[in-house]
Amino acid sequence: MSVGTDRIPDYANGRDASAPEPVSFESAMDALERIVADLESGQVSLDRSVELFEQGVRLAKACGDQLQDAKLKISRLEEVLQASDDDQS
Amino acid sequence: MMRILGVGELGQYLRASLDADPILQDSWIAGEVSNLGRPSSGHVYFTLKDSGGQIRCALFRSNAGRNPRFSDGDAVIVHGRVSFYEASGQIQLYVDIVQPEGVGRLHLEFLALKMRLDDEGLFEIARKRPIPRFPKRIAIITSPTGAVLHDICTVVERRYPRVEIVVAPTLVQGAEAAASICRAFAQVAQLRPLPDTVIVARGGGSLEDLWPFNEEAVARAIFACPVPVISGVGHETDVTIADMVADLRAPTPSVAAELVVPDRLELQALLERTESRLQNAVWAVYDDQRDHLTELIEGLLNVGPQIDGAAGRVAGLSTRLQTAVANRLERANERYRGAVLTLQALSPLLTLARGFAAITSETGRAVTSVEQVQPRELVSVRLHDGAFTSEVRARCP
Repeated sequence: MSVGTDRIPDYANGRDASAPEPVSFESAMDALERIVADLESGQVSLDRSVELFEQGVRLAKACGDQLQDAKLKISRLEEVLQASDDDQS
Repeated sequence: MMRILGVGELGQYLRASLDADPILQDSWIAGEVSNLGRPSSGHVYFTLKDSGGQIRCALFRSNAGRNPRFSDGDAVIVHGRVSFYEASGQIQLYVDIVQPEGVGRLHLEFLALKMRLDDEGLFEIARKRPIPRFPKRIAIITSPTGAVLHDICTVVERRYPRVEIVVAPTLVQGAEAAASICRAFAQVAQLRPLPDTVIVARGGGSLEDLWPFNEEAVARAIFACPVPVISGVGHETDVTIADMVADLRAPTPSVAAELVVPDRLELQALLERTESRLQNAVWAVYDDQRDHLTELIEGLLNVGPQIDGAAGRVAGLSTRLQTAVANRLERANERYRGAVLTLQALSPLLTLARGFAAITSETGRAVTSVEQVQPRELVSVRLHDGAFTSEVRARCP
């Protein structure tokens, strides 16, 4: 499952890459997890905090969009299932 | 020319002669049990006798387990083979079946065949094949007339209408039945496509009626069948050799119909339950991830207060800075004011105000000594509020 080729820096590998690399939902969540942990530690400089916050917001948005897509797909498939059940009875 | 034998050689010859005799190798003997011994080895030794004679018998442990217990004085029928045991010089009957006297011949034959086929491995559980769950095609070997075929078809069609049923008709009792059943199995094996499962069935009856299903040929035909066989012969309490060889035994033909196909309605319910599980499972994954993301976003938003905290620190420091500077300034001012006061105290103006004068000559030079002036010289006399000119009249000293 890919969160698309939005230019999300590959925080997971410590690179601020601007190369459009598709990142899996799970690794985006992991990266977001690490960002939040760092910010919560309070040991990060002000500049870096703002940077991390920006990255975090982008990751959160991408993950949120992906979940929304999944929800839509699942609901549509449920309708297919329902329709075939109705056909049988 | 006569030959002189050793005792051992005689014994061997005797044993070989007996072992070669077909009747002696497969005998049924009736008699009374006596001198019964059951040593710890598990083997059973006894004498079988009647008015005309007696013979020593040995029933080994492996066979003893599958025969009923018996005691001294019992009238029994045994099956076994006669041989000569050289070491003791005894003719013995090696027994494998013991039954109480009065058991019918048919039953005895059944027991003998059962034992033989069991030893060959035809009843082996490990070789029994699983019955296909969703057959496309089944074959039924049974009488074309009678209620059995009708019952089986009714049940199968109700439970699972989409399966194709092929009937291989056969005789199910009488002398020709065994051969007829074997032919039916042969026909089924030729079917293309092969059925997924075979049912061999017949309704209830006496031991004689069911006898074809205890025949060796039928047992071997079932064993050799290329697809799994369900047997449904007689009533629940009838267990034939066909039942033992089959991949699955049904207590009655109707039960065979229930075992060969699943029930459509049960499948429907199972499908619905599985669909529910599927939906629940996928939503569970979604919900987990959704909750996780929500948590992280909250964590992210908590960075606001962090920055406010820093701002607070800055404000605090700034206040302290101001206070410190103000204090410093104040101290400097105090020092200044103190200095000013001291300075003022030392000021010559204050001295002048007390009535002293400062005198300067015409050249502007300060006069600090009487020797610096001459009479008739003009000097400037300065008081605290002004000055006047004065002529020196006289000096003293």
